[in-house]
Amino acid sequence: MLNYVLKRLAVGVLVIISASIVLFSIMQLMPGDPIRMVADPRLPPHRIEELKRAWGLDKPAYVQYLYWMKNLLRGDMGTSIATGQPVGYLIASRLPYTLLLAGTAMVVRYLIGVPLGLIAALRQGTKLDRLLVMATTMLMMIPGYWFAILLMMVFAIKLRWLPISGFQGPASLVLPLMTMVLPGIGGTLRVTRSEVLDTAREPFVLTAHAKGLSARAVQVYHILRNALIPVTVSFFLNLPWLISGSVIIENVFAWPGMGRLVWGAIQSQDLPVVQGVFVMITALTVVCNIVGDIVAGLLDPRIRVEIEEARE
Amino acid sequence: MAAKLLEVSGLEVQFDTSSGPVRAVRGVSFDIAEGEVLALVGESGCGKSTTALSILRLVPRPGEITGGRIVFDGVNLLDLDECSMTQYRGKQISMIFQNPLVALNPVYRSGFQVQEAVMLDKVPPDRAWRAALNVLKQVRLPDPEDRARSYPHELSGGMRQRVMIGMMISRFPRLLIADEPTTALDVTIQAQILDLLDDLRHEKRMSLLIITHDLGVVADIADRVGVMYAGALVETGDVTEVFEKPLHPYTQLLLKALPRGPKNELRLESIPGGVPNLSNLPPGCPFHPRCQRRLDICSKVEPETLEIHPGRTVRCHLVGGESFWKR
Repeated sequence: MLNYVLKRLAVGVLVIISASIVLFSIMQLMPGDPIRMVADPRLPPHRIEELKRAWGLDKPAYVQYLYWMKNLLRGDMGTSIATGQPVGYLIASRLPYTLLLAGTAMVVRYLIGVPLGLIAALRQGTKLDRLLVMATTMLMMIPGYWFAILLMMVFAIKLRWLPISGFQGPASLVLPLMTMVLPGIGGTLRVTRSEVLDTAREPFVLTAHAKGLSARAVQVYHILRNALIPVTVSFFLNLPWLISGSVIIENVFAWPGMGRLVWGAIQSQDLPVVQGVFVMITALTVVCNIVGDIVAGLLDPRIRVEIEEARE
Repeated sequence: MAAKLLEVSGLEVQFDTSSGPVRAVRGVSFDIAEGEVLALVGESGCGKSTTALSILRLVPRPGEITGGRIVFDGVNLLDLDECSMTQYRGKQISMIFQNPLVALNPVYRSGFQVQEAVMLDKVPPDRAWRAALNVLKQVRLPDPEDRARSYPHELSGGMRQRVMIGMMISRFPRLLIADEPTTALDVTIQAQILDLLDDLRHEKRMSLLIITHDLGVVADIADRVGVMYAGALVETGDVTEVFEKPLHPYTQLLLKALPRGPKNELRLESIPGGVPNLSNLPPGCPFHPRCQRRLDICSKVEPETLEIHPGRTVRCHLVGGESFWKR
C-alpha cells in the first residue's frame, strides 16, 4: 500500500510539472506585460528595461520557467509583482478560507444529497422520488453568479439576516455555502440514487434475501454498503473541482480565499501569483485523487487487489 | 409415499412490461415430497427460474405472482406477510444461484457471508463463525479456515459455488432450490457439485428442486422431472418413466437432442424453430408451430393437463384424445 501511494505521488509530481508547463505557456501568450501594469506609464524606457531585468522577464520563456521550477523545488514560489509579497505567504494566508468554504460546501452537499438520494432510490417511481429528482435538477440549472446575487438581495439586503459579503465570522459562510451547495445536491442525489438502484439489481442482493435476511438488513448491509463505495470516492474526486469552481463565488462574495487572490492576480498580470495558485490547485487535485483511490481500496477488496498488483 | 413438503398449484406470474403484461408462468402445478429431488427442465425463458423464485416470493419487479397457491408444510406462502415470509427464507427453503461470482457479495469475506446466515438463528458471532467453518468443511471446501477469510473474487468458480451451497444449507432448510447450479462451472467441477448436492440431501434429508436446461443433470440426480415450455409444465413424471417413454412431443425432441452413441458417430439433433415470445404466444398449444405431429386442434385450443396416474401428467392433444386411447 505504501509503495502504491509513493508511486502515485511520483506520477502526481509529473502531472503537476506538465500542468505548470502548459500554464506557463498560456501565460506567455497572454497580451500585455506585468511591468507596465504596475509601473508608472511615465517611466523612461531604460527604467522599464531595468525592472524587467530585475524580475528576470528579459530572459527567454524556458529560462524563466526553469528558474521558477528550481525555486519551487526549494519551496520558494516567487514574489508577487504587484505587492512584492512572497507568493507562498499569499497562498498560505488565503488557502484556509478556500478550504473552509469548499470543504464545508462539499460536506454539507453530501450530507444533504446522499440521504435524499437514498430516499429517492428506496421510493423509486413514487411522487416523492420524482419530486426530489426534478427539484434538484432545477437547482443544478441555476447559474452560480446569478443565484449568489439573488441570495444577497433576499437575505442580506431585504431581510438583513446575514452579512452581504467578506468574512466576518461564521454567519458570512451561509450565503456562499448556499450558492455552492444547492446546485450540487442534484449531482450527488443522482449518483447516490443510481448506485443504489444498480446495486439493488445485483444477484448478490437476491442471495441476501434468499438466505433469510430481513428487508432492512439487506438494504443496509448489502445494498447501501456496496452502493456507497462509488459515492464516497466521488466525494474526493469532486473536491478539487469545487475548489477551482469557487473562484467565481469567492469574487461575488468578496471571500478572502484563493479564488479572489487569483482573480486579482490575473487582472494585474501578476504571473507568479497566478502560477502559484494554479500549481496549488493541481497539487490538491492530485492529492484528492490519490486519497480517493486509497479510500476506494479500503472499502472494496477487489480494488485493493488491483492496487496490490499494481505495486508489483 | 412420503408426505408432500411443497405443493404448487395453478401458479401464475405476470410481468408488467411497457408492451403490456407478459405471463411468464401459466398455471404451473407440481409437488415435492419430503426427501425427493424434482428437476424442472426447459429452454431459457420458459419460466423455470421464475417458478423457482416464486416459491421464495422473490420474483424481481416488475414481475408479480397473480394467482395460484404455494403450500409449504401446510401453509400457503402467498398468504404470508413479508415479515413472516422472511422466517421461511433460508430457514425452511433456501436457494442457490447460477453464477456464484455475482451471487456472492464482493465486499465481504466468504466465511462472513455464511456466518451472517447462521447468526439469523440468534447464534452469537463466535459460535456462528465456528458453525460457518464447519459447514464449509461439509461442502468440501479445501482449507476452509483460509478460504473463509478470502473474498469471493479470490476463490475459483467451484469454490464459490461451495461457499454458496454452504451458506444456503447452514440453517438446515428442508427444501433447497438450485437454479442452474452447475451451468457457470467447468465440466469436471459440475460433476463434483452435483455429487455434493446429492450427498447433502441424503445427509440432511433435504428435498431438492433443481432448475436446469441439462437433461444430463436430470438423469444424474433427480427422482422426478417436470418439463416446461413457454411458461407451462407440459409433462411431469418419474425420471425413468419420462426418459423411457416421453409422452409430449417436446420432451421427445429434447431427449433426441441429447448427445448419445460413440463419439465418432455422435450426431446432435436440434429442435427446429425457436422459443415463442411470451408476450405474443401462438393460439392453441404454444408448441404447435414447432411440433412435427400437430393436429388441427393444436392451433386452436390449448390442451388441458391430463393426469395419467398420480405423479405423471402431460399437456398435449395427442395424449388423452381418442387417438391416444385407441393406440
